[in-house]
Amino acid sequence: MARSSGFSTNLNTKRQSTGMRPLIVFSLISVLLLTFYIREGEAGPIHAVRSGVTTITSPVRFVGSAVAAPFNAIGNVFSNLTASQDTLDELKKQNEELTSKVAELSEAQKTAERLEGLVGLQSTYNLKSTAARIVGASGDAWTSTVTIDKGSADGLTINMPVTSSAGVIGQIIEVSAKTSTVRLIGDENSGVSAMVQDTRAQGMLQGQADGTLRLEYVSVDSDVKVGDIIVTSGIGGVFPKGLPLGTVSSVEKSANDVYYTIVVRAQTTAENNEEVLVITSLTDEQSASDEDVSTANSTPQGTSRDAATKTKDESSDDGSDTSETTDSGSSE
Amino acid sequence: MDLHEQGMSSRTFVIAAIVCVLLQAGLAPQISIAGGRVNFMIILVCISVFSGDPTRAVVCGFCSGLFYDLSAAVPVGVMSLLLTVGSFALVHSAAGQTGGTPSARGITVGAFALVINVIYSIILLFMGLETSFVVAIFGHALPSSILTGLVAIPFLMSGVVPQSGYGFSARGGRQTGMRFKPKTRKLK
Repeated sequence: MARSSGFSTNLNTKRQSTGMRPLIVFSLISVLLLTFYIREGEAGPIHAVRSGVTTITSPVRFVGSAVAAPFNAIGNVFSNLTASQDTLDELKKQNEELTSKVAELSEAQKTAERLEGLVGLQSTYNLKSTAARIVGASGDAWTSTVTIDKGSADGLTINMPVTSSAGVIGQIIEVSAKTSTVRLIGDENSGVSAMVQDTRAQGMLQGQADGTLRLEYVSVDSDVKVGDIIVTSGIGGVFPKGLPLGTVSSVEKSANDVYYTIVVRAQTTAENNEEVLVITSLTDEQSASDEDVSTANSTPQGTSRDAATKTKDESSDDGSDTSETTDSGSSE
Repeated sequence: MDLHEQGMSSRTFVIAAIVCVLLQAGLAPQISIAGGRVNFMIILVCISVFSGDPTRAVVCGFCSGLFYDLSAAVPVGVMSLLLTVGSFALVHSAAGQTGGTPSARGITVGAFALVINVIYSIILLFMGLETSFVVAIFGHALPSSILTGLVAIPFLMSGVVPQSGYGFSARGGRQTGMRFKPKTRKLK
C-alpha cells in the first residue's frame, strides 16, 4: 500500500493529563491532615512540622517586620486624619480626665514610694517573666494572633500569658524554637477569667467576632458600671491575678436577663515591634488561693460598691466617709 | 496536529513561587486593611493555573495551601484542600484558560480568592473557630479577596504569566518550523 506523501500529520496520541489523579491524591492527603490535626490536640507531629516551618520562615518574618515598621506610623497618621469629631471630643475629655488623674497618681506614687521604702516592697506583681518583641501579626485574616521573637529555646511553652506594659495581651498557643504565636484576648477563641476590680464580681472576658471584648457571665445582681476596671481573677490558673485587662465601656441588661451584657475596652493593643513580657511562672501569691476560689464560687456577684468603699476606708488611717462621692449605680 | 500550550518556563514559575512564599511569610502578616489580608498563595495558584498545565496547577494548589496552613495559626489541611480542588476547577474553567489583560486576570484572581475565602469562612464557622457569619464573610473574606485581586495585578503585569493560554502548533512541542504562529510571545 502506497504511503501518502507530501503531508503528514504528527498526531500526538499521548493524552494530556487532566490533573484528576493528583487532585484525588492531594485531596485525600488534605482531609487526612485535617483529621490528624484535629485529633492530635495541642501537640503532635503536625504541630511539630508547623513549628519547623515557623522556625525556617522566622528570619523572613523579622525582615518583614523591619521593613513594615516605618509604614505602621503612616497607618496611624491616616487613622488619625480620618478620626471623627466624636472621637476627638472623646479624646479631649479623656485628656482632661487623665491630666487630673496624673496629678492624683503622681501624689499617690510619691506616697507609694515612701511606703515601699518603709516596708521593703519590690513591686506590685513581681512577675517572673521573659521579655520579647512582637515581630508580626497573623498571616490569615480570621485569627487575632501575633508572633513574638522568643520560643521554646528561651523556655517558653504553650499557655504562658503575655502582657505589655499596660496589661494582658494574650496567651501563647504555638511555640517553635525561636518564635511563638500569641492568641490575643480579642480573638474569638480567647477566654480569660476576670473580675471587676472594685466589686470583685466574677466573669469571663471573651473576644468577639467584631474584635471587641465582652465580660460574660456577670450576674445581674452584681454592681458594675461604665469605667470600672477589669482585672484577671487568677482563678483559671494561667494568668496572675490582678493584671489589668480593660475598662468597661458599656453595661446593658434586658428585662429577663440573668447576666449583664458588658462590653470592655481593652487596656492595651498589640502593636508591631512592641516589647512584651511572657510570664514564665506564677508564685503562690499571684495564683488564686483556695479561699479566693471558694469566695468566687459563693459570691460570684462580688460585693456592692458601697461595701467595697467602706472596706477600703476602714483600712485607711483617716477614717473619713467618702461613700457620698462614689456612684453606686449598677447599670447604664 | 495537537494542541500545544504556551506555558511559562519552569524557571520563571519557580522564581514566582519563591517570591510568593517569601511575601506570604514576611509581608502578609504585616499588612491588614479593613480586616483583610493578602493571600499570596492564592496568587501563586492562579499563576500556575494561567500557565495551562493542570497537573502543575493541582500540585501547586496543594503545596501552596499547605504552606498557608503551616505558616498561620489555622487548622492544617483546610486551605490545602480548598486550593487543590479550586486550582483543578479553575484550570478547567473558561476563566482559567482564556487570555486577557492583567486587569481582567486580576478580576479572575479576585473572584477565585472570594470563592476560596467564602468557603474557608464557612468551614471555620462549622468548626466553631468563627462565630459570626457576617463578620467572617464581610469582615474578612471580602476584603481579603479584594486585596488579593489588587495585589495580583502587578504579578500578572510583570510577565510571569503568558498573555494568552493556548495556541495551535502543527508539530507540537518546539516552536521551530510550525506553520501557525502562537498567539503569545515565548517567555524564557
